[in-house]
Amino acid sequence: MSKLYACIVSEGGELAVLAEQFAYRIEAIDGGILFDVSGLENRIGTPTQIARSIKLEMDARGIDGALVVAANARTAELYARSREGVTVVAEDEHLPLPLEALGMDGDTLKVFHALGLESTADLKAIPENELIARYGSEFRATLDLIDQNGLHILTPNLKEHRITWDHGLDNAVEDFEQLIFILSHGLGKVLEETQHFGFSSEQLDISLSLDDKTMANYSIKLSFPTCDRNFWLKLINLRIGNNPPPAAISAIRLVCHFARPRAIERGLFAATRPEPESLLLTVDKIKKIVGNENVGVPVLVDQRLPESFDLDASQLPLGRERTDERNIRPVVALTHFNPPLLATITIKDGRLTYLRTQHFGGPVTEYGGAWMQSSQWWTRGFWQQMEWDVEVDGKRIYRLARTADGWFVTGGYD
Amino acid sequence: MFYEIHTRSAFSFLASGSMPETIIERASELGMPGIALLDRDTVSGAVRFHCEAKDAGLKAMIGAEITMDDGSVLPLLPIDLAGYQNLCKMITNIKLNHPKGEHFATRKDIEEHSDGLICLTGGADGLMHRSIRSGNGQRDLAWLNYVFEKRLYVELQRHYLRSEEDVNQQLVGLAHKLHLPVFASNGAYYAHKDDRELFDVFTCIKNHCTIYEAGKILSQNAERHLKSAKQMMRLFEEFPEAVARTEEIAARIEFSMDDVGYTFPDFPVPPGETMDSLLRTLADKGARNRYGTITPQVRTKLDHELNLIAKLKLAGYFLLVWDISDFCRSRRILSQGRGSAANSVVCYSLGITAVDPIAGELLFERFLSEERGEFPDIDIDLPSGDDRELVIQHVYEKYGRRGAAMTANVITYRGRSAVREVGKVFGFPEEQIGHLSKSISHYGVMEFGEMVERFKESGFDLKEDFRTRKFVELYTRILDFPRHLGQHSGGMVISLGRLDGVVPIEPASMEGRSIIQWDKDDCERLGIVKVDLLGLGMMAVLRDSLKLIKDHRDETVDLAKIPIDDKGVYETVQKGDTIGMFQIESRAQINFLPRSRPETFYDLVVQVAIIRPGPIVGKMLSAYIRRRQGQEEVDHIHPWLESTLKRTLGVPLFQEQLLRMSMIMAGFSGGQAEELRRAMGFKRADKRLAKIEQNLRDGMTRNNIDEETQDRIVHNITAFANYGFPESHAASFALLTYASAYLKVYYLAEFTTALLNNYPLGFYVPATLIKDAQRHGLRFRHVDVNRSDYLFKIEEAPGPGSEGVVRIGLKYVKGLREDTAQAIAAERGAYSPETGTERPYTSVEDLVRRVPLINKKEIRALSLAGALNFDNAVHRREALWQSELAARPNGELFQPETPPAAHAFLQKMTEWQAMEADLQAMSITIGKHPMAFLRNDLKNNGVISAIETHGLPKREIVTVAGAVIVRQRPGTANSVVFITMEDETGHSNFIVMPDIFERFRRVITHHSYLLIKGISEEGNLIKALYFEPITAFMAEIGSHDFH
Repeated sequence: MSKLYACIVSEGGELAVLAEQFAYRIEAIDGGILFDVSGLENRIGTPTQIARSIKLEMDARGIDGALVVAANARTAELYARSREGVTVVAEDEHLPLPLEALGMDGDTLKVFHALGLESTADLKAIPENELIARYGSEFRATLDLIDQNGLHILTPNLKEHRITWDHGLDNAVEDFEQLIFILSHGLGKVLEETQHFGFSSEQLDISLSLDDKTMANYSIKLSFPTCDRNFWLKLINLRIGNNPPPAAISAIRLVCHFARPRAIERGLFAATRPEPESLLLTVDKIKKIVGNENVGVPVLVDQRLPESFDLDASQLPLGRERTDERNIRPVVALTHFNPPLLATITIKDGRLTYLRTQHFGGPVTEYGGAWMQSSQWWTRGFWQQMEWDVEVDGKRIYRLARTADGWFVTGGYD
Repeated sequence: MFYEIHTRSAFSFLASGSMPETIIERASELGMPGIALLDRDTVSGAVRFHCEAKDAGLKAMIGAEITMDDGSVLPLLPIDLAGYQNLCKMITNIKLNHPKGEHFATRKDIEEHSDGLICLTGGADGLMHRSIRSGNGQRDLAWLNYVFEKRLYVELQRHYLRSEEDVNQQLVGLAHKLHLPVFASNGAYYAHKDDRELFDVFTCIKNHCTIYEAGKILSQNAERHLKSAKQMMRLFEEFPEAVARTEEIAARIEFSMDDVGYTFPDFPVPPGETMDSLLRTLADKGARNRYGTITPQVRTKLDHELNLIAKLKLAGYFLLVWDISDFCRSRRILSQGRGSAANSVVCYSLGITAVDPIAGELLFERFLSEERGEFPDIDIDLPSGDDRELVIQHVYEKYGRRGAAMTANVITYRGRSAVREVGKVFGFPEEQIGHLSKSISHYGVMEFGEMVERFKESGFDLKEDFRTRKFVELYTRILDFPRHLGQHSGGMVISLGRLDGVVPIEPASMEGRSIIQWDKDDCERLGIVKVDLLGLGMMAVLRDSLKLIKDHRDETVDLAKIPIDDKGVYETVQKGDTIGMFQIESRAQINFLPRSRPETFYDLVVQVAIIRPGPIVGKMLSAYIRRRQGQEEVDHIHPWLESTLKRTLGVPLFQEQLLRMSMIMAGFSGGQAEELRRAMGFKRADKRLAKIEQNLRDGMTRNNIDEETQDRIVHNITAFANYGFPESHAASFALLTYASAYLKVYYLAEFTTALLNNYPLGFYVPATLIKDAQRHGLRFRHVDVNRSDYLFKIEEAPGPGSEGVVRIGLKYVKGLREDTAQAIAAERGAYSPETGTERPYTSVEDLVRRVPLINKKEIRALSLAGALNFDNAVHRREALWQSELAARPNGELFQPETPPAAHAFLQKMTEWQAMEADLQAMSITIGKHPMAFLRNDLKNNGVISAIETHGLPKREIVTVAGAVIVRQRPGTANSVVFITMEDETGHSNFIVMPDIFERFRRVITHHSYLLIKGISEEGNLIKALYFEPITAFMAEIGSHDFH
């Protein structure tokens, strides 16, 4: 039985989903999809009828693009990239194409043009041995491409990579916690199936259809793969609990993405350290108390901004210990106050004399500064700030800032 | 009292946000009594800094920051001349001993050159800050103290930065420990607080990043600006002595740029001679050669000049220039002095210049005067290329690598480079930057309003978009800032002893060249003598033409002896048939020549000078034409001026006339007159000019000149500020103009061949030059590996009296390397036992076998150009197909035994296709003009040819099509654009008003072939109304494809 391939080149749309309707051997190509439709003759009919079926499916999914059905996978791709609309190329058929479509190097293309050759038909008029003598045996592949000869290469690269579980509810449920039991069941199923494929997972997507016809989507990504159902369940509960859906839930979709299972190998004398699962749960519990946006990893900002670091809520602490013991210079630690404390300052004879905040206050016994910073002049967000290091009442040293909004204590030195 | 002792200017290149002039201006505003400039490894900005400070009454101190081997800098400030010389020598050493851009000084360099220099410990990038951070502060400060003894000052800088204070505390401690004086500085990188933005932009340019990516490499605040004494006192309130110490440092510095120790070299003379006597002997001998006998008039002039030269001690300079001219003569290199030197009989006698100043009634005072007290300026034109290089290397050899160098050319941020670099900093996509910079470069710098429009075309709303607005602001501010030091086109500076003790020398980008760190204006300001050895393409054309005439016709043409009043030459020039002729081939000249109708050599002198922005804007041009055509009476302003102005019909055109006018009417001396001219030349003459104008009026009043005449004279003289072309210079150029015209008229083949071989030069591309020559009857032969040499050459043509046929050279085949082309010609010309003469190539395989250097791309290029047709044995496509086979790498075993048969599948190129292939492969064609192919279609649709545009009645609406060869928007033309198109019949000229240009901007600037509809005006000019690309028009009328 002869082979048959379809190729769609389109700027967008669910091409893979469409291809799955017709084939199991699918190759995602740049800007399109190539799939093996051999054997569909029995089910659908002639190549033209197959093309028509695919086109109908494309229209149904709103996919606009070029579709080619041909006996050679690469020929199908070649034509799809060079023509518009639907094209069916019979096994022994040759439709002329501009030489540019063959993807040959620019210099050779220029030579062909100078020789007066414009299309594949012109090229086919040249005896093959003449071409091979000049451009080597590798040029045969180009000729095969035009003739739909040679290897029918299709490299399937679109494999199953996730498991989906859907569950509709008879009655909408207001409280997500009521769904934990059902979710546990679904979670068990998808994780079991995932393990069955020899994978683990580090990403779960939960989509909740809501009673008000909207959707609430949650994506939970871990930095390690796990199939621990209880862990996932607790995490889902915490995440959704931190950010509950705005309306009653009418259906659940759970998508479990495959990942390579975790390889754990520890030495006999390795120090005990917390399991990542429990660390993550702890962090999520803290988040529940202080808010999602207030827990994360401090990252230095490579910009001249009033705050020299930012909090990355999407990251977890790496837990690396300081290992560089060579640097013996003393380090002054600054506790950053978030939010900064509004302060009242007394100035006498141009000197700072007294500082008061809601939590502490006292005479300024010593101070250094002012330090001035300004930046971002190239945006509307231009800022400038003055800072002082003030010793209050001979005890602790604080960082005092003056901004357009007033005086603030932004931190304290330990 | 506070002196800022540590400042950087824009001449530190990408490390400062202010020009030296702005720094001085600000220092003056702040009431600073003096200021020091320490640019990074350079004194490039020193002269303008010094001069500006002098004008402002400030003490300017000049030093430099020296880059050390660890990347830190060491600021050094000369106390005296010896210190300055040490600084210059050290910079020269580190620059010449390292690859460009990778220089640094070692501690040994510092130790060897420390005499006479004050050392400052510097700021955050200074050596001491780095040492302290690495824990070596005390050791390194002790080393500096040892090297500089009592000339070391510990520098404290405060920019309100927390990180700086820690080092400052340690510096104070170390200074106390080693008993060293401490001083305060702001380490200023810019004059005003606002300049920080420009400084940040430069930081991004230096680090090749956008302002958004730059992050912490940008400055933390805007505190590195100049600060007043009060601000500094407040900043260093606990160290008042550190602020006061700046006065002590300033007081120690005696060195001033007024005395950089420059001495012009003595010229070696034979025993018993002095430089003056040798010059007199040579001048007398030369005068006898030039004039036959020395008449009393010549004697008087010679004596006057020689006496003045002796009085001003300039004999050495004249002898040096004579030596260069003599070297040229000995090597048969064409050379000609130009500029004001042509006013000198001595220069003429010495063979430096070619114009007789006595016959030309030229004014010596324009060249040299006692009052000016400065060196004269002698420019020598030499043929571009090897000949000029030979002369330059001769000067290097004679005076040594450290005794002579080229002057620098300060390359500044101009429209295109400014848009590109600032655009990158603001993260604009490459495509938008390219589009914008192209628009700007095409027609000069834009006004803000125009820029708003241009941005709108590119999709930016300048009024709404903050980023774009900021970009425009910074783009405008960066204009004219120095970008890097380039090489002046020909100015050489020579010094007695070591030039590197006067100014640092650094390597130029060009192999074998070195440059000083000052440009020609700097040299002039400091009275440093410069000899300009300028490359002139036309000199090379003349040289090559003469050789070709000798080779081809066995005639010797001596340019000094060609008839200067040849009728045929003037008739050609009067028609404006001047493409290829020196200085009179521009669109404006061609348009003007039929009206001015030059008849004598002096008319050509006027012609060269008059088509300049000044006379056009000053309406001198129209007055001259009216008088020339007899439409207006000649008016000499005052009877006393008749002799001065009669030759230019009462219209003052030349600087010499200005000088004479002031001398005659106001009794000015030669020197005073020259001072007047120079005052007008300065952009900011202001007070100086007002004073001289008053002197002029006073002088005229003394001579009883009435007020109205005074006003007219002052008005005429003031207008000179904008143009003023020296008559002597115009005369020197006119000689070349005449010579080129003479050669074009009588030796077209040789002249055209020489022109094409010396391209690029002049206004027109080779394709236009070839078409013009063809219209004059010259024939060309196609490029051919069996006939062509690297350069164009002349071949014998059949038939008596034929002047020969020009064979296209391999030089024009795109992608063919010169080495390969030379190898092709050499191998073909190699001896063959069979024939004893040339051994032509028989096939592509033969060529590939005999010229192993040739590569695949070159074989393709040759066959595409039609150079491998082997006497029409194969057509161009066949040759290309064979080339594809020959270019395959294979060994001897696999060589085909017989040449392949013709291939039926390859169609011979049509004439149109061959023309396209020519243009693609060589950018020239000797076949039909592209427009000739379309002529029938065009004619049928009412489109006329270029020749039909000549002599059209006024106000006739016509449509013309052609290839655009000139698009010009002269600064003098109020945004009017001039376009010249070419077709097979000649050229058509168009004037495009600003509104029409704006409407069709894209079509005009993006298409090479246009169809223009317009209305005929005077002088064969068409006022354009509508533009369309020819491609669109041909598609409309269903004609064949036009690419």
